[in-house]
Amino acid sequence: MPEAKIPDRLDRLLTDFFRPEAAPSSLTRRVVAVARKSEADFLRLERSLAIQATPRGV
Amino acid sequence: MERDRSLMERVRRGDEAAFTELARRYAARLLAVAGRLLGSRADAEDAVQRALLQCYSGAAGYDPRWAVSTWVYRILTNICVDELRRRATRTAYDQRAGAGAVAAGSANHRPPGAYLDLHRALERVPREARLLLALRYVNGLSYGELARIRGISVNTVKSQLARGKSLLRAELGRRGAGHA
Repeated sequence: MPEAKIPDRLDRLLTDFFRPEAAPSSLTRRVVAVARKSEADFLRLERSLAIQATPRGV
Repeated sequence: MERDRSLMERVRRGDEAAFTELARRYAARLLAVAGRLLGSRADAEDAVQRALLQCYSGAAGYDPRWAVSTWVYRILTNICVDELRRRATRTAYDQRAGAGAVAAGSANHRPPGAYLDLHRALERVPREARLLLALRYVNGLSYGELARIRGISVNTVKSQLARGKSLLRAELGRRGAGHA
């Protein structure tokens, strides 16, 4: 907190209260798995909607 | 350690390893903010998951002039505000229906005993000030960054934080916790 003045008791209490705990590793794994799946779903959708040019037209 | 911006550049190119690293880097801090705002651990994890996924799917829209943290926190806080609004609407509806709604978010959250007074005092602080307090104290974000995250002026950030702390002091004083 660069602009902070000398921390008072409330500042110290709030800093302790808001101190981050370790996030469960399962959370990161889950997020990455969902992102991977979303991307795969999107690629599948993109392929299914693919527009192809042929000699007979689009 | 690779800088956030170059990590984000890789995420923009669809690099999954970079996204995994970004998620690891931010998950705990995002969870702390969401947890203190939403109360419920499950809702906080859900908010963090949605925020990180929006970072991934919307990576192309990231503006490198912004700090990555500003962008990530902005996404998270928008999700949390939406959730709090949704709860407020639901609570109002439940009350009208005479269902005796429980205070939003309190059901699954058991703050440590030492912080019970502070937790209850924070519930009396208006949402915007509470949000700014969480971002400020979880991560020590500057007034400027807080202003960019919330899309408000630096002066508004300062006044909201001062108001929030003043309310906390008054509430804690009233409870005899003596943190003024």
